[in-house]
Amino acid sequence: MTWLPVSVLFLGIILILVVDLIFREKAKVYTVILSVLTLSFSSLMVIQTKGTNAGSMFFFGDFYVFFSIVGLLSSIIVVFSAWKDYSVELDLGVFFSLLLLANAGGILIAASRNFIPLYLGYELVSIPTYAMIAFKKKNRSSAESGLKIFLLGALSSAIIIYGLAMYYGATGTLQMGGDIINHSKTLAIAALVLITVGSSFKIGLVPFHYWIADVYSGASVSVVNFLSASSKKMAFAFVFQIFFVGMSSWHNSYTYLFAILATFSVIVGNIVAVVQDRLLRIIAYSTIAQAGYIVMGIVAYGEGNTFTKELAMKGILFHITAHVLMKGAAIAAILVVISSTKSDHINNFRGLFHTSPITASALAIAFFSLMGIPPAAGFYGKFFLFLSLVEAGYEWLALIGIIGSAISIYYYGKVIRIMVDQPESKEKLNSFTPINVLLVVLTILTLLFGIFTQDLAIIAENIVAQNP
Amino acid sequence: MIPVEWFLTLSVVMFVGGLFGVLTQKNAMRILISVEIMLNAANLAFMAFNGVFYNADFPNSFSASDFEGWVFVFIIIGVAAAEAAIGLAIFLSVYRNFGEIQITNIFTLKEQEV
Repeated sequence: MTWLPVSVLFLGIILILVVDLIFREKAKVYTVILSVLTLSFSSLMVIQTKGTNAGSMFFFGDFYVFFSIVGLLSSIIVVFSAWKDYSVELDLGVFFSLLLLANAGGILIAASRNFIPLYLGYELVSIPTYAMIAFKKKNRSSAESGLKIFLLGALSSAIIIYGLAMYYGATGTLQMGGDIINHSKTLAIAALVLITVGSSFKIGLVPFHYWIADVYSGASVSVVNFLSASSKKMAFAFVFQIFFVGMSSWHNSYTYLFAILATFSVIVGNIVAVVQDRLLRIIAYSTIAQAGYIVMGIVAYGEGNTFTKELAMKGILFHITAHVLMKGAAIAAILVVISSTKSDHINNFRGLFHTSPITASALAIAFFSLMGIPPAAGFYGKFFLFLSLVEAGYEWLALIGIIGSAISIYYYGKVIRIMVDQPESKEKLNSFTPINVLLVVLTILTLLFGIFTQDLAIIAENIVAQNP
Repeated sequence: MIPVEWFLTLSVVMFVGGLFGVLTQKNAMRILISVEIMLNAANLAFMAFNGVFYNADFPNSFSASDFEGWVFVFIIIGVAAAEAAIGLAIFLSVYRNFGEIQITNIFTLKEQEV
């Protein structure tokens, strides 16, 4: 009963592979339908299994529900964009089974209260991701970005595992939330630094961010959508588990480290994005900056009292949900342009408002949301994150965040201005109905985000209450 | 009985050696081998720590949490094997496209000129 969501995913994987094998050429639509059904059914099961008891290694609380559902539902966006992206080549069935496998890892991360299943879930997310990035076997840039993320991912997981060994030495247990035993302060510091460095690779904070721009511009666009919307959220769930639950009794020793990393990420990410002239690279650097904002939430959570913790957790949940919506819409819109013009250079977006109004409006609203302009989704997350920073006494960090947002208005505004210009040719883009439906749905959700904030706030308060 | 510090020293030497290899080697295969050395350093540390933490009167009374470190070692070995498998597949794909796996020669995705 407890592992029903994961069982549903594994059943879906087997079904998709069999359907792919039987129907061959005609299987594409069937595999898409099967993946969407599996993902939505699995999220229903996640809600059903909330609160079940499965021993001391797992805890099925609100954290589990939120991060599993964010991972599963954002994978539906990936399924749609992969449908468009791979519609002329390659077997979708294998791709979708890798996607579902990564989701099983995400559920394992979100449910763990012990480092053994946590690490297993982390690797179960990472390994299918490497395979998905190197999926186009004949494509040079796809193979190269696959090699890049594999080498850095293997290095980061080796660093994290050594950090976990040090954690085990410092606390004497692999159960989360252990106290530091006497005379092992040095081991605790080593664990903290190693785990922070290792997970900074994965979530892309600034001294360790070099792979992000290359992988985003080299891999195929639907995989970028997965990396940015799904896989990054699972990596964040991993980080939150380690620092909020695993090191909860370590007296906030991690806040300074994360404050420095967040400062660098927001400043470097936003400034380097200004000089880019390919849209996927702009998205990559803005992802680095957004990761910096979410890490600001970790700083405020570690520093503050219960009220600040609730504010920080609200900011984190709002920003993660909003990030899925706006990045999913932006990358799906870029995918539409790339599939017509073969390049994501900024000049290809000239006059998009005249040639393809739906794509252009979706991209523009996603960018307004990324800037953090109110009624759009991105505003709520940033507002609560900065508010919690001020409550926690980190006014300077909030100021850096606001400066970063101000810089981001320039480069998003530049793209929007280019899209409003007169086009060079009146040629219409070849549109694809499912992607248009997806874009419209994501845009409406972005604009009406205010409706969900009440429920998300309750989930945030529950998570803070359930964390030790 | 060998003290735990000796094991830890060896483990740190292995970890730093592996990290040095990752940062200096140019062949992707050598980098993968260096990463495996780092994982084995972590395994050694887990083994040594669990030797300290496990219940002293072992045969008479024990619980599952006494063996956590040793269990984790087996899981790390399994995960490392899976990672090596996917890595070798990626190396093969890179070799087919570029004809070599020297990372200095194949990294063509770079920052644009500003």
